[in-house]
Amino acid sequence: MPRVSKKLSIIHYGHPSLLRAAKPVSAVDQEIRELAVEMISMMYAAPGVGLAAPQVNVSRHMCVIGVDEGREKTELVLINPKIVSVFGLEMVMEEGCLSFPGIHTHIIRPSGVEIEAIGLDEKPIKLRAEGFLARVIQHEIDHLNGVLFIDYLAEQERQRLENSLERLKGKTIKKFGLASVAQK
Amino acid sequence: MRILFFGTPEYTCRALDCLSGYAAIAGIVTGGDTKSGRGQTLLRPAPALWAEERAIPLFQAPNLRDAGCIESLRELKPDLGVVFAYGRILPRAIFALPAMETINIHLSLLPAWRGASPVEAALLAGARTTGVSIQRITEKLDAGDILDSAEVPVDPLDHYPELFARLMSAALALLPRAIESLQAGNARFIPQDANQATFCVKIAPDQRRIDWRGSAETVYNTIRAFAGSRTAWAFFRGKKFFFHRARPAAPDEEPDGSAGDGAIILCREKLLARCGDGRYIVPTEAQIEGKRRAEIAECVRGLRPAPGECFT
Repeated sequence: MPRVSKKLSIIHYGHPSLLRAAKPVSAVDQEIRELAVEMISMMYAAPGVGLAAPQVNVSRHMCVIGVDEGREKTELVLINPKIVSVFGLEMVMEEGCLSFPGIHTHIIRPSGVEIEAIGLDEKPIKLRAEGFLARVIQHEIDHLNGVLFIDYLAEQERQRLENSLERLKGKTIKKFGLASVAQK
Repeated sequence: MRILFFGTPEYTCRALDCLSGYAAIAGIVTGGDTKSGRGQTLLRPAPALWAEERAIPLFQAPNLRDAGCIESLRELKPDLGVVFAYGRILPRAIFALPAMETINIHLSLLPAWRGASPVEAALLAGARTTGVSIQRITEKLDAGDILDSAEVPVDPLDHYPELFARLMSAALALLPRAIESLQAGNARFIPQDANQATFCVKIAPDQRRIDWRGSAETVYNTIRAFAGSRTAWAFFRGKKFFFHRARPAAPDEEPDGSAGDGAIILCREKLLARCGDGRYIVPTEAQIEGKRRAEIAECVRGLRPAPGECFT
């Protein structure tokens, strides 16, 4: 049996893995399928609307998304996703992140996005999304590239959140015993 | 960079807080004192207090056409004017005074809803998105070239306070980028498409009265557009009944059969009001004239509407 040896947990800001680009998925094998299932249940349990593998400290280029927009429910597993193009106006939306508990801020991003990925069934996915779904997709794909939503903040908003961010980082370093690897 | 700021309501101080992180506030122009509350005590505009706390030159309700006033503003040597809900139209002599530009924060995606009530207009129209624009001030109201803009989603359940808060946050997210582009000298202004322009005017008091001949959607949009301060209202037993919050009725909670426009249907402590298209709205928070704002259940207990009674 393939290994899902360690119990997965969501890592928080301050953990160096969040800043690293994830490794591409070379094959959709049993390990990836189990990871996807596990991530989906973690995402809903959190509760959250998206979760990227680096957030559970697994360096794989994949993320899961579960967005419920009333009439439309979208659940996606995106493997090796990439943004092909963005469209529409820029949109401001409040964002949070499972790796940043308690921190919410307004972020400007394009309102629409076109992506390509591979699904769990190994079939190619081409998707055009707008609004909230497009927002979540962009946020999650960023994680795969080591980019965090706070990277988009204007200087002053960043300063406003500085204390909360520092506190979170301190807690994370303690929790994950990262004192030895604590960087910058 | 030195900014000359024009703004009157309290929320404009958040823009001042934001701007002061990027540039020096050279002066603040604000509206006159307003009478407030039962004592009709004079209330100073928040930007005036903001200015005084920081010893920034303050011009309260000045005559902006007066040569002396223009001269004193010029002496501040502003590089940029920023106008946010000042409440009056600026003459050219004023908006042309800063070395670079005078820009304005407008709470819609221009050219949609040029005018005085863009947030209400978006809600009245039942729009699913609106936005924030930063435009150059020109003589023609809200027709200036756009420096920056962003879309903001409107939730179908949003009432004015929530949408306004979201638009404010968007404006504050956008403002630093606009200022930085002006400072860096790479700001790009894009003309509005005048053919697409729509307009909104200052809200007239009679616009707040609910017309029960309208569809449930129209009535609901009226309630959400005016929620917050001076709310939408109707007469009930000759007294004003203010609607603070409501929601559209779900199809399965709507009673069958016919009733007149504005007819009140009670379902336990829930109140449904019939609109012109036969659909219903469900007020959730309301206020009877002379009473305080309350959950609808409390209003129902107090009023005990009889079968067949109507809002008019």
